[in-house]
Amino acid sequence: MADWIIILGICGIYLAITLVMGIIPGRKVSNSAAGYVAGDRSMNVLILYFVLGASIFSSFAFLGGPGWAYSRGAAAFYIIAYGALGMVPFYFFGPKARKLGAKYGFVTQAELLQDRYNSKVLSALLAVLTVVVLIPYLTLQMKGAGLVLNTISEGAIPEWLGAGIAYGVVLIYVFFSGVMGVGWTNTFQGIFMLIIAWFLGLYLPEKMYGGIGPMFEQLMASDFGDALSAPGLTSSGAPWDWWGFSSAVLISAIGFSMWPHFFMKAFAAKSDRTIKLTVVLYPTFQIFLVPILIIGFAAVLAFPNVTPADSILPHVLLQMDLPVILIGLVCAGTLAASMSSGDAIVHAAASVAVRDGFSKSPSLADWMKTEGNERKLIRILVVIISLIAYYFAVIAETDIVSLLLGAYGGIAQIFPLVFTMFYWPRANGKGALAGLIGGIVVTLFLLYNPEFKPLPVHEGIYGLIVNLALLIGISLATEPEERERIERYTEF
Amino acid sequence: MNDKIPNGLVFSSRSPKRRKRAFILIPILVVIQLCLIWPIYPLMSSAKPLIFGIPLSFFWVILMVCLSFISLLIFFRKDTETTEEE
Repeated sequence: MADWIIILGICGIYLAITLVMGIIPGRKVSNSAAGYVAGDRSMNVLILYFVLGASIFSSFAFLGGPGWAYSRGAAAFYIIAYGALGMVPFYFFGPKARKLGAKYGFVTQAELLQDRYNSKVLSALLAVLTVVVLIPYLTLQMKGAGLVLNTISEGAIPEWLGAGIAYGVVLIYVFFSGVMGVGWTNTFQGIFMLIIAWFLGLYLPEKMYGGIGPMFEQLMASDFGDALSAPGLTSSGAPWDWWGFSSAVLISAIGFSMWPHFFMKAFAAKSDRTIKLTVVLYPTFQIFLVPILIIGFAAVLAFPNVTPADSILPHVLLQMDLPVILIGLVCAGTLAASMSSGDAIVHAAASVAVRDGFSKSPSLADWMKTEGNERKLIRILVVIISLIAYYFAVIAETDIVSLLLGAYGGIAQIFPLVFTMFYWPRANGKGALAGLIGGIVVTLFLLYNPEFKPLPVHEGIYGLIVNLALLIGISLATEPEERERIERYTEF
Repeated sequence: MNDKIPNGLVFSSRSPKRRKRAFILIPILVVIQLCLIWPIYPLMSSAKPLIFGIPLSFFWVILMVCLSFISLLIFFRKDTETTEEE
């Protein structure tokens, strides 16, 4: 009885620290949109590293990662395989985006694309796409937070309350501090997560098997041994094929740097060097998935047949005789993983909705010119988007996971547009629009009608092929954009 | 510089040295990525033997992350030596 109160106490302390760290930096930035959305372009390497790292390592990493290792074996290496190089395009795109942002006042990805391709429709389309993919993403983060607090309190805290408390804190600091609140809290949460993950990944095998080597030796001798050969198993437990594994890695690597909440951090960076160094250091964050997967492997022999696989981490914590303080810290770490992604997502979705959606309406655009009004509108959107996601998380019975599965394929469709924006002067608005729409339509169609795929590869790959064909074909068949516009983006 | 907008891809022409280095880096990274998917990863996909206590299939992935880190680090050092004042 007293145990879970101590655990919740630790989570409470963690939440209080996060709240304070989130509110302080908001007092330092200007009350303009650039201050709220891009932190007055002042983020240093430390903050950018943790913002980008922690926004990617969501509750999927903390709950889903061990779940994959536990149920699908080597298939879980996919998570490491796409992140190894997924951030590299940002090394080249990021500094270009940052310079243009500082010069022309851009703070979102869509503003950049809209200017290069001279298309308001493109901007609106990207705004809709962003909000549509980010809301289910946010919903999943909230569910993760609710699940953890519910499991640990042995049901005393219902999921709606758990998700409500954690995201109440997020809402407060994102509302007040904007992106700098995200930055500071993610730094704290990121360090916290790293320590917890490494400790647990080394401690559990040691305690259960006497080390990582002996653990894998026992696993290899068991029925699970075959699953440790790549590419592991599918979610139904059948062997995964190389088509599926390879294309999933590729599409995720391509989509990685295109996530709107990720890409727009280029505008918050202090210098080109900041962005480049962050990309270079990123694999050190990626290695943090190693102990996460080991947690899942450690559970295979000790706790067979746990369903759903995603609950394996809380399950291990409750079943094993661990010190209560440790359990509390791990729970707080899982909350950190959920919240450090959720805050960046809600902030990005609201910013994009306002900058790329609402501000295109002439009447609103006038009103927004008044100092502080734009920030006011973004803040209102932060609240509304949080409430929508919360509604899906606790009330609506929608299949969120399938929505999110389609999201990576859709997000990857932005890649050709960003690449040609900087490197292909001949690309124009008509081609970009046709490519993006064609790519998304094909991806969605094949997601829901997989029987039409000629080969069993990820539907996003087919989308990319159609996307590129349309982008190139239509651009060449129509007039290029005017010269001075292109000269801002490419160097010829 | 001519008036016609080129039909091909244009990479930075401001620093030929940097472009040359990028053209070395990118193929290396492509090979690393191929090592993580078909056709190279299947060669290393077996769980046996254990290397430092870790299955080969797992160790290989970690090794590739380390290699990508090293190649990026080298590129970054050269890159910022020359273009910092830009």
